[in-house]
Amino acid sequence: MKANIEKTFEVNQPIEKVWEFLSNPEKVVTCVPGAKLTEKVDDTHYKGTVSLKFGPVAASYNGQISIDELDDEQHIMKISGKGMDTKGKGSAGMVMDGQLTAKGPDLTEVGYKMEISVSGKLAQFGSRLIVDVSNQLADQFVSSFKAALETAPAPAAEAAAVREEAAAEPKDNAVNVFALIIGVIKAFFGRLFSSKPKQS
Amino acid sequence: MKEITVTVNGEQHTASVEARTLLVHFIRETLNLTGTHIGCDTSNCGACTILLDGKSVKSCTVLAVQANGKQIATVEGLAAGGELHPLQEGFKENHGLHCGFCTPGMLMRAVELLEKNPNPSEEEIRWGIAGNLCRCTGYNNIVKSIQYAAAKMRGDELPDTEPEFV
Amino acid sequence: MIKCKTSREIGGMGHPIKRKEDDRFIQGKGHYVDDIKLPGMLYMDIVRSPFAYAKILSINTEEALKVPGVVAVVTGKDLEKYNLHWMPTLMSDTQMVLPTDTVMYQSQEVAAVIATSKYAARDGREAVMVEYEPMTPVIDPFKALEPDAPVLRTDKEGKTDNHIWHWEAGDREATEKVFASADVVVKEQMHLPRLHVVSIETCGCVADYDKVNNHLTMYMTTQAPHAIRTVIALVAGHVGLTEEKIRVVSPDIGGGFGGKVPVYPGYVIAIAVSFLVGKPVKWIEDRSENLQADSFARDYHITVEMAATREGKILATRFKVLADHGYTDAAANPSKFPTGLFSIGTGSYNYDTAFMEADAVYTNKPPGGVAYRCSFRVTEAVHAIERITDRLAQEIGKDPAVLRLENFIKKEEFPWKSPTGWEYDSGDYHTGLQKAMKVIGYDALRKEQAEKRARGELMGIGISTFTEIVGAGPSRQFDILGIKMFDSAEIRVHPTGKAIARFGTKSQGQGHETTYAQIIAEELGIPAQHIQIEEGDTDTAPYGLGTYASRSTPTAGAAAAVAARKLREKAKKIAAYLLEVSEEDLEWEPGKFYVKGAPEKAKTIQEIVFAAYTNHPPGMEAGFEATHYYDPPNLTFPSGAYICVVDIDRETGEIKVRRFVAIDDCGNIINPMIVQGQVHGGLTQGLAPALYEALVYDEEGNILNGTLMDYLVPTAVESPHWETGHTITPSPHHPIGAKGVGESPTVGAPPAIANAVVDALSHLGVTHIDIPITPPKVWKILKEKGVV
Repeated sequence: MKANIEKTFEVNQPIEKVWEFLSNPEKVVTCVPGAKLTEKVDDTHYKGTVSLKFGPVAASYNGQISIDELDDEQHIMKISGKGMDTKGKGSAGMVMDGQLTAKGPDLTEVGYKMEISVSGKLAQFGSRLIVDVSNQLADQFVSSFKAALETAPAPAAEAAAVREEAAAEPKDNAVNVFALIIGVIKAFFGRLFSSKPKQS
Repeated sequence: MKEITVTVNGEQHTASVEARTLLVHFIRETLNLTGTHIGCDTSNCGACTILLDGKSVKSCTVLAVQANGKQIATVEGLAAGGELHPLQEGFKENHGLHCGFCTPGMLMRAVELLEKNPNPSEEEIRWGIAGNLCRCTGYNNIVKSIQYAAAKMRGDELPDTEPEFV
Repeated sequence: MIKCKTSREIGGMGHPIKRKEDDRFIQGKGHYVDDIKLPGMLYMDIVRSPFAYAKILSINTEEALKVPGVVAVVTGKDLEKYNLHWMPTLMSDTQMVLPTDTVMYQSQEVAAVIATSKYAARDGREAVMVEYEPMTPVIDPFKALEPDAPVLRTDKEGKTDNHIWHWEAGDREATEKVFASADVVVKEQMHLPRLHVVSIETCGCVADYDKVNNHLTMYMTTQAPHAIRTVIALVAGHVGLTEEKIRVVSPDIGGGFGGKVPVYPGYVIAIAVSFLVGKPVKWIEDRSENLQADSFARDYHITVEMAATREGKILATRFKVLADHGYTDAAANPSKFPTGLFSIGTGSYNYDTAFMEADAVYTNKPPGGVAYRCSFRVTEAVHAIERITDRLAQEIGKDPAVLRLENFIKKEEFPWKSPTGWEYDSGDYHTGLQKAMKVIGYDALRKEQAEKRARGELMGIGISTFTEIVGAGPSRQFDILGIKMFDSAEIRVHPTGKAIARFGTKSQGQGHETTYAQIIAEELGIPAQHIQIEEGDTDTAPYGLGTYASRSTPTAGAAAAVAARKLREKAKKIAAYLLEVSEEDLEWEPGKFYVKGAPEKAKTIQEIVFAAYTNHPPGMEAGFEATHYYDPPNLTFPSGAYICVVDIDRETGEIKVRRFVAIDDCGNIINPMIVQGQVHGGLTQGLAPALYEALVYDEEGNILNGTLMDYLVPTAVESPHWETGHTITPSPHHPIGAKGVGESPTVGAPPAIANAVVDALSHLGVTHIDIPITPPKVWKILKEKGVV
């Protein structure tokens, strides 16, 4: 089961600042819903977890993240991740290509493409929702990312604080997909009614 | 564990159940009323349909604790005083069942359907039982069975039960 | 009108008497496997694989065993100690009971948790930790045959590819010759999707092993209890469970449709656990497990071609099949028929040249396929021939009804030898189709269609005129694991003239308790209401191969008639003795023997039976019992003419079946009410794959519709009001002239519906759409053709 997501958004910060944040997995992970890093293997390899909750069903993935490409000049990156459900109920994988473009001295466009693949329980039960849920998660990422860069004076320190909090309360770190589904359903009906010609 | 008291087919039962116990399991395993069946795990098939305070519900989607203090009617209580309910008679007279597995749920759903609409059209019956799956009959004769029961309950002349097999 | 020889009171053949079994079902007193509760009973739940193809690195049961109520967790390694981790399939392939190292499809059994309650077993299941190493699965059957495809069955020594078998029928060279010189050749490629039977009751069992007496009672959802007993003895004989120590009981079955023929791993695990712990073990799968892991049906990729003259005389057909069997060939076919009876696919038409070939492959999907309400791959064959026949009509611009009427085998040409070697027993295809056309008002509908088409509205008319092949089967060809496919009946008439009869078959809703009684009532004149029918207990019933493939009436029904006739012969001797006349002087009318010319001198069957116990003739064996094992001389060939009218919404692609007329010919009719009911049910099961159902897998082998939320079983709203009727062409070789009917509608309906949809779109150049024909598929076509 695959989902492809492509998004671009703008951040009111200079490109180098955005790049510094985006290219640092320890920082950027704080914006990924439900994710945290647990171990730095080397400069390009990390271990981490992603927790999702489908109503009463919780899925927690243990995985590896690898930075396959990082071009400081061009501001291009490629990251891949692969994880197994901690209870042996499935697996998930992700490949992401990201690129930054300077739109002004204090304005940067972030563009990324993501291919998410899911196998096992989640693919079985969530197949109809996976694209929409992934999109919702991506939107959450965008707003966290923007918030971290645009409002916080010291994002790294805050990220660390968030991490500590997450470690203390791992349950809260899990993304509640059930809540997201409400958003998905709203989006679905939104699409349905906006595309339907008005009946006379 | 939580203690609940329910009235099932007119008889009061008190039992202690785990909070997570589904009503259908309580009915089948605790009360040993195995006429209510389980055909799926997603509330689609309707084999477990019962009446809870007179309203048809899928008992796999209700917790036993939610039924505390309520009236439950199952297929076992349908025939009153040894006499078949008009719906039971209708299903038998019109070959409204084959394997019989969906039948109790169909019957209980139809009880509420006819209570709300004593003279339903074929279309209304079809929509009315759309939450109950039958894999054997192709539904033609279930519709006919419910129409027969409706006529009987209204006191109208009973429709012909011979097969329309030209 | 159906003519009856007996009175309604006797209720022999042809009477629409009400079903005897209904009283318990309508009062909630049916007795299904899940209703069984035995003292000390344990509950089993099964851990299943999330991956389609993976190595099992470890199974950690520690946490599961800590769950209150959990008594054991069983893995493949545990079963391996008893050599019970693999079992044979009905097609002489092998299937894992529990894996020791590799899983081959998503939702495959990985471990079993045994506990003191259903809920504890489920908790235990959630706590079992399995570590997998996923591998790249092979899902597409065409890719499975490519040279670089990974070899899936590495357990089979020397296996170098995923090919299972190759099969052929007919004459390849002769067919090539006809095709090379024919005026017209039409060709389509089609997929008959993977389906599930979805009986409303899932599968399950209670295995009850008694250690003291070394005796196993196996209550289970099976359509073939006797064969199962033999299979258990073959699999577990080496641990001391020999066949006399095994009793298989098949109680009320909540629908079977072929899905309850195979032996699923859950049954075997339950037996193994009961054997080890000496307690009864109940296993009832839930619906999702049932959809995801139990045997599928169909999944044939068929390329079909038809050669004809320009005028539309059919000359030859050619079929090429790729059969996706999942990871093992667990089809439920007679042993010598890997494609079942697919070779019936030459159809109802008079031509003498055909060639068929099929190849089967392994993929990382659940094993199968079962004969889902279908006499072994007949549905696939009929879909291909009936679709390609319409395709020919479209190609040469001839009305599909006319084309069929011109090509049908004529009534007087039976028995007819088909190009693939079958001998059709009897048929009257012209009368059937003409009747269907009259009932539906065919000519008026064609006129309406032309008018609507002119207005841009989409309406289609589809025909299917199929020939079925049922009643397997004659012992010279048909066996399952070597056991010949006869079936049996045993009749015992008690001194007061009431009877009990037992059979080797097993009803799953077909109404055997009523129809078998009617057959015996017809032959002996004992009222059907006083004939008790019993099936499904191997300790009491005579051996038989079970109920599937519409074989009950052709085989066990025939056995009942022949056994009853044996008793009538005995009755005649007793009557002659009682009336003091010679046997030649006696005449039979249902219920009594009387002296020719003196009807007042008579003995009723009840008097005769009483005498068999109280005053039997000297030299005659006392009692009134008979048994017969019926070995059919040929199969029977029911047929049908179905016409369907659909309206298609040009904005949404939604298809509405406006009318559907089904005229069936199943030979002599035992109970028209039940025959009609069977047709109704089968039609809805034919509608299902035509428009709604298919098991869908993604490229990684995840099932995308493994619950009833996503697998769309038609409700009363999707299912139209079926219009049914019959013609009667008795089988000349069957003792009561009956042919079997349960499957005809499931076989015949899909092509009628598909033909109707294609007909509605034919003016746009559409020649074929694969089933299920969903609104998105139609909408896409309409969009492409510029209609939307």
